Order: sequence, then structure tokens, then C-alpha cells
Amino acid sequence: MGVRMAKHSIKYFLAPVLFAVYPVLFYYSNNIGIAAPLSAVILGFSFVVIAGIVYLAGLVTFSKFHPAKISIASTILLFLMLFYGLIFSALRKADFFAVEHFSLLPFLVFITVHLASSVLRQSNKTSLYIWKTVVSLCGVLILFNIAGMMNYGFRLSMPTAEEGPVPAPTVYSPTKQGLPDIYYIIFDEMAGFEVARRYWDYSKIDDFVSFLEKNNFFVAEQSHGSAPSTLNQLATRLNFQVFPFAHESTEHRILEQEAIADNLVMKYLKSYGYTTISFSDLNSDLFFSAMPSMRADIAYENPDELEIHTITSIFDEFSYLALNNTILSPWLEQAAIVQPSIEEHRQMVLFTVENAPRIYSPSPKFVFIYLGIPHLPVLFDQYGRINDPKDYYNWDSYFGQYIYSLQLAKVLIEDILTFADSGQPPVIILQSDHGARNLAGFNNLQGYSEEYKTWIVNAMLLPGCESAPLSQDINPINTFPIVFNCYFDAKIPLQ
Amino acid sequence: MQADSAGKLWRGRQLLGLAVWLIIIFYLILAPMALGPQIVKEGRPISFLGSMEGFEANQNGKAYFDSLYLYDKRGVYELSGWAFSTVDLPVDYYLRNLALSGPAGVLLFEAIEVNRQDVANHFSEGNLTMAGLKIRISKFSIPTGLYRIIITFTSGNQDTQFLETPYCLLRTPNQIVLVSNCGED
Repeated sequence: MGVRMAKHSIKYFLAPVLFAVYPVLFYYSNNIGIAAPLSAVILGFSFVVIAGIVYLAGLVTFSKFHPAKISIASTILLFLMLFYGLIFSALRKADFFAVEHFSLLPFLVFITVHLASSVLRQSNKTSLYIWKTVVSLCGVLILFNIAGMMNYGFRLSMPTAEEGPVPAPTVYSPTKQGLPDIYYIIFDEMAGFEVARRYWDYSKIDDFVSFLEKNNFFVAEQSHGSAPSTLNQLATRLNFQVFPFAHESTEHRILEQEAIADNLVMKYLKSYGYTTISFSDLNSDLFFSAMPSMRADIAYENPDELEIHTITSIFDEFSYLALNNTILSPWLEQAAIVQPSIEEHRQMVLFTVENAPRIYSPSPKFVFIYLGIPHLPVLFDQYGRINDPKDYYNWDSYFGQYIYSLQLAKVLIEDILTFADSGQPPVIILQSDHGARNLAGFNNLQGYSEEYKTWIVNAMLLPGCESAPLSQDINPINTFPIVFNCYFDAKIPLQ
Repeated sequence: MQADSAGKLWRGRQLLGLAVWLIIIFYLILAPMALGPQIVKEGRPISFLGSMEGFEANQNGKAYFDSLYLYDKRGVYELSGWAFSTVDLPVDYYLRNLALSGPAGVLLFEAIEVNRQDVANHFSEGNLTMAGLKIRISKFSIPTGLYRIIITFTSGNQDTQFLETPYCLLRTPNQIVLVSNCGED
């Protein structure tokens, strides 16, 4: 009897389960290429567990009622739990009356409990009809989202990158003699030096330019990237190949991520016996958590010693997005200011600056260094002190972090030169992916010119390459062709 | 007799249910007004003025507001801009505050000075480097309605002048919006 009852009850669990799974699938299908699949799985599992607890509690408390009624009542309760944040935002946006968590939440709890209890008063026949409708509706919505995700997968298999005139790195005569270590340093969102002068009236930028020139860097002051996008620019430069820029396109984003992780520059250098090393948190929760790891011999993304063991560290940006739409939103609003991903990012920046120049690896080596500053969030002020979380997305604070980023760049370069083999000076390329774009955030930069958004930092130390075709307006797509033509006589045509 | 008492009981329960519904609806509508000001302490006015009568109008001043954004999700906004009394006077010669004139009278908010090199560059006047202002305003401090933004200048000897700007703040049920040209009144 008990087993039969249990089987009977399990069947009706379907409605709460489908209802719990649907929002996760919906959010994930809208964030393919950004969200980590594991996050979606964990979140979906958590929602199903919550649905199970609610349903089980209903069965135990109201054991005399038909399980279909408990199932519908549980689904109504889940609706409040999983969509409260959305309801709150929609009402706030509509702006018909004052909406605060402390007023709306008790009101909706009252309505939900009232609705759920009214379901228990329905006849079994009506309950079964409602139950079937809920299951069918959720099933259709879930199938619709799964179909959308599969469609993305199909379209991604079609190549879209424009083929450039690039010789494939097939067979080279491997020799390790006389090959320099190569450091490729990217500061995300670092405005070009001329922009610092023009827009921020920062004359001290010349001290940094002088530092670079004293160390024999060529400083290209008029260099522009082809698009204001990190993924697009890194994919372009690391493969010396044009990637068409399509803002917010999931397909392009995934292709670019793959092209960065498995890039032509590292393949080329591997064929010359280089050890490839990467310091990058591009695929962290803060940036592109679905991006594959850099296919380097040694890849530092989030070394063990950086792991932060807090209860909130299980949440990434995708989880925040989904949970913000639930009944947890009033508490997440307060907790969001201490997102663990931001703290991990801060530690990764400091870890990279400290360790990238000191890493032990036999030469020749290629070290890819990506630093997600002065990109927002603005974690540091100009002296490297930690900013108030309320200013993380304040464009007024951007330039303070910019100044601190210059100091970090100086430390990084000085240390690389100090630890380098004096008989074989290293190649150092210091670039930004794009300029300050003045995007999402607040206190946006007023009167900020469009051309500044792609105006980049571009400085190169190429020992022994005095005849390299360097100009003030170097197209950054030619960065590695210039390096390879000089050191490997690669004869790659410049664009 | 029994049916009559059952009917009374039913009506009593109906009335009780109705009363509970009314209470919860009143709570939904009135709680933000009653409890909001208790929750947020930042962004409150520093004083309340009945009107600007008795103060001299400033004829030479200029003011501009760039943005208004939600500084704290609990309802504190930050208004950013710049203002000065005259070009040839250093801005630190007088204290600047912001007054909002609207349905609740004139409320005075404290302004924080901010570096605005761009303003100094624009007017070619080094005195204006610190012409920038930031003012934090809690939405719970002002009832709904349209408020004209007024800048007050108080000199060292406590003479106060005011500059009426074309900007207004519109307090809606849930937010504050910056209106760049709110007309004469």
C-alpha cells in the first residue's frame, strides 16, 4: 500500500520538477558562451531539490489530499520562490506605486499561501486537469529552450572567421639557440597614452612613456584596435587573422573564445620549441566563465592558493543572475557588493604581477599575461588601495585604477628585465585590447570621443629588430607577424 | 436556529477574510512611506527651509548636472554636476549646497566638492578646478512630485545667495529622475 502510494506521489512530482528546471534552462539558453554549463547544472539541481522539499513537506502536512493538489500547490509556492525577483523588478519598472521588498514580499507570501490553499479545496477532477495543463505547458517551454540550445550548437560548427593571408605553421627547423623569451602583456580597457593626455589632461603619462623609451621600447602612440571588444581583439591578434566584429553575437563570441584558447601564435612558437605559459583569468566568473582554458603548457587561471573558501564562492555571475530573480533577491542585493569573483580577480591581478616575471621555465618561453584592469570593476584607486564596492562601476574612479595599472605595468616590465638572461634580452609587448569604452556603469565619461574607445596602448621591445616596420599607427593585427618575421624570418605579409 | 448560527459564522469568517485582505493591501501601499525613512539614514536633508524668500538671487552663476544614478540600492541617489558663483572667484571662497524646491517646501542637501578639471579647462579659469559637486539624496527624503534644483552659495560672512537652475528632480513612486529642462514652474 505504502509503495503504491509512493509511486503514485512520485508521478505528481513531475509538475514541480519541470517548473523548477524551466527557469534555469531559459537563463542558460540566453547565456550560452558566457555561463559555465556546470553552474547551470548545479543551479538546476538545487532548484529541483527545493521543489522536492516543498512537495514532500506538502505530502507530509496534507496527507489526506490528492497528490495532484499538493503538486499544484507546491508549484504555486515555487512560482513565488523562483520568480519573486522578476515580479519585484517588473513592478518597480512599471512605477505605479511604491514597491519595496519589505512591503511586496509579505503581500505576495499572503497571496501565494491563499492561492495554494484554495487549490486544496478544488475537486480531484479539476486538480488533475490543472496538473496536466501545468505539466504540458512546462514541457513545451523546456523543449523550446532545448531546441534553441541545439540550434546554437549546429550554427557554431560553421566557420565564420575570414581567412587571412597566413601561412600555416607546419614544419620549421627547431632550434633553441638564440631565441628570445617573449612576453605578451595585455591590460584590459587601458586607454591609449594620448587619450590620457587629451581627455584626462594627465601630463604625468609622459613619465611612463619615458620609462618605456629608456628601456628601448618602441611606443606607437596612434595605434587603434579594429573593434572595442576584448575577445575580438585577442582572437584577431593571437591568430593574425581578421575576426568579424558582431556585438553581442553568441556564435562569434564562442568562436573568438576558442580562437584565443587555441591560438596560432602559441602553436607557431611551440613548433620552435617554446614553452607556452599563460596568466589569465579571462575565463573566470567575472569575465567569460564558459571560455575554455588557454591551451598553454602551463596555465595559471585561478591557482589553488587563490581559492577563496567562503559560502558565497559557490555562486558565479550566472548563478547571481538566476538567483536575483528568485525570492533571494532582497538578500543578494546586499550580498552582491562582496561577490567572490571580484575578490578572486583582484588576487589574480596581484598574483600575476608578482609571479609572471619570476616563473621558472627553461627558455625559450612565451608568456601570455592578461590583466583585467583598468577594466571595470574599479577595484583599486590610484595608490592601489581597495575601492569602496559602491564605486566598482563608477567611471569617475576609472582613471585612478588606470594610474595604478601603469604602476603595475612598470613593476612587471622592470621585474621581467631584471630576471631575464642578460645575454638574451626578452621581447616584451605591452598592449591594451581596446581603450576605455565608457560602457555600462554610472557617472559615464562626459564628452568622451568615439575614437578613444579603440585607441590602445601599444609598445614593443624587440631587441635586435631595428629594421622592423614599426610606425606610430601600427595595426595591432600585425603584432606577431612583425615579431615572427624578425626572429623566425617567417615572411608573413603585414595587413 | 442551527442554520442561522452557521450562516452568522460564515459571514463572520467572510468579514474576517475581507479585513485581512484590506490590511495586507494597505500594508503594501503604505509601508514604503512609513518604513522607508526609518531604513535609510544616508541622503537626508541637512535643513528644511520654508521658501527662498529673504535670500538674494545670484545673477552670474552657472550650474550644470551631468547625471543622477542610484548610488545605494536602498534608494540613495547621487547627483553629479558643477556650479560656481562667478568665474573670477575661487570656488572655495563660498560654501555650495543644493536646495530642492517642490511640494515638500525647500529642502537643503549637503554638497561634496569634486575635481572637475574639464570645467576649469572649458572656462580657461584655474579657480574652477574644484567646481564639481556631488549630492546624495535618499528617495525617502522627498515625497513624490517635481522639485526644482537650486544652488545656494554661502560666503564666509554667512551671506547666502541662490541660483535657480533649469534642472528638476522628479520623484516618482519608486525612483528619482533628473529632468534637464523643467520650465518656469
